[in-house]
Amino acid sequence: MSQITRRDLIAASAGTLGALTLACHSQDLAKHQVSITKAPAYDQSIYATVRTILQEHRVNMKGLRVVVKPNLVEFDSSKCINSNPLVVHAVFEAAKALGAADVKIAEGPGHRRGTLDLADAAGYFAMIPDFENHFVDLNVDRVSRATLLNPTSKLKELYLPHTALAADLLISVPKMKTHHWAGATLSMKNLFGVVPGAIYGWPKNVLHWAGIPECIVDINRVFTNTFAVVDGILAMEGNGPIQGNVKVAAVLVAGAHLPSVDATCCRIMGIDPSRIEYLRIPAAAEQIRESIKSVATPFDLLPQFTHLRS
Amino acid sequence: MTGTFEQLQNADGGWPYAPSGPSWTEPTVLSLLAQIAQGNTHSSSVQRGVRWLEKLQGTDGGWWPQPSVPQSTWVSALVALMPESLIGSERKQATLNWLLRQTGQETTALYRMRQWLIGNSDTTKNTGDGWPWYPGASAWITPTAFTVLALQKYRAGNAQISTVEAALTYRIAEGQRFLLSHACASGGWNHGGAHALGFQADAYPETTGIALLALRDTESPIKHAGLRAAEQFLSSNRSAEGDAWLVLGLQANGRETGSIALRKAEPRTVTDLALLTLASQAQAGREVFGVVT
Repeated sequence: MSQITRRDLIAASAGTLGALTLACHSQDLAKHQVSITKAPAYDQSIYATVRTILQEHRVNMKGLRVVVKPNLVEFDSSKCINSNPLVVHAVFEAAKALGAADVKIAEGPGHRRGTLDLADAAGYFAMIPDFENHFVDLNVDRVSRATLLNPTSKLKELYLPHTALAADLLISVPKMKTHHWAGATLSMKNLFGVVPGAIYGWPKNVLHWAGIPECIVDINRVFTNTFAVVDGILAMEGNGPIQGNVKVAAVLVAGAHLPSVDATCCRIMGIDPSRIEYLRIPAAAEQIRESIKSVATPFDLLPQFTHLRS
Repeated sequence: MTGTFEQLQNADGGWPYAPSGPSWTEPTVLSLLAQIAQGNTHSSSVQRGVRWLEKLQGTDGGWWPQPSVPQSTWVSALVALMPESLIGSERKQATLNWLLRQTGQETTALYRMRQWLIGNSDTTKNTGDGWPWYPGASAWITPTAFTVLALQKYRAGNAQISTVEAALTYRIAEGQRFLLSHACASGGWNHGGAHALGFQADAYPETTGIALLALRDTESPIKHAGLRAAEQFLSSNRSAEGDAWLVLGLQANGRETGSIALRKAEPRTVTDLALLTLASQAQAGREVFGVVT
């Protein structure tokens, strides 16, 4: 079980971090449960593992509209770029089994426009029966204007897809990866995929100009009922999120408080979360199941990011 | 996905990206252009589609991506590809003026000066003035190529208008320079991020086809590398969107593509269907996007 460290407190009190700290649940000094579960391979055992994780976290699904948000980026299935379809399907099935009224899988890729083609190449059609009827392309969904409350970015509002806005529970299922702009891309950064490309483009470059870390914070604040299951079985190190190398981390990291989940992932990856701009908070996670020490496996970082090393 | 353009048309007159979805400007314009290329300019489907579209021009002259999004964006370039006889000369002129006012934020003098002051010499290089997806952001391959096409089409149809010809010619050349300077090292184009942090990125089939279409009247070793990449993509690509854009780009540059190129992948969206139709019309030698192949 981890404690709030002196470094966490120093990071939290640093004046330069004021805006992001405020935005990132600064009131959340309480500990948030984050589970680390060893998962050596993408096999049938993942279904039971994911269901157990959701039950352990007492995630209430009964009667809810649940949206499972994977990370679909590129066609190259030889690399670990996209969230593995088996993990996504396991979350989808677990949500149904735990009483969700409706479960959708939804994503809006940031570079490639053929979302269904991308999902097909990533194995989603083969893995998930009747996939097309469960899937919503968030890039072209119906949209509404959402006002960003006390935004930390330069944006005051964003058009966001109805499927995501109407979800009672949004489950972020990203791939554990390094990221050549944000340092690491995990459950919070994954929510960039809810921003509709049909309005903002491919890439959603408006977010870059408004500040990537700040926009990560702002978008996450729109969605208050969230859960995350991070696919860290085969992860990506080095020049992520597309051109990096496969890294065997063999874990699923999960929890309801996305900053704490991402901070835990960073610690597993050998990254100091207080040095990731959108995570500069006292992430006081209560680890359950495995300890960070037992699964920690430092990821290769580009020379430009070695300062993130914990 | 199955259905004809008429069957896929929404009751409001527009077309969705996915069947039964809301109407958007992009699938509507592409569906209209596809039907026009098929010779159905005067069908009731086209007329209803145009009426839906007409409501989406902003007071600034640009076009909205959807009725619920009152913000002019990249789709303005697509609307500018519509025949003037359908959207009207005043609307088209206003669209053109809007397009000429747009630029990639990274090419603005203020941004370049700020980058120079902080010693970031890479971003101060002048690599051509392209177009963004959304006002206030950087320029990217697809909106730049669409806009170059739209300006070329306008210039071809309005050669007598000398007052705007210089501006058109300048921006077309700048847009093409942007495309050429953002090609991937291995040939072809991706979304526009050809390299980052010293790493070269791979090209995409669809953006390679789109860029080649906008570069059809240029000569450059970069374009020829793109043509080679497009031909390689065409044999391995398995998406309707990619196949269609590759055929459009190659045909516009005088390369034969063969009918099998458009039978490899089924359309999954309305835009896929429209692009496959346009590509097949291009193979038949009909005018598509103002280009006769």
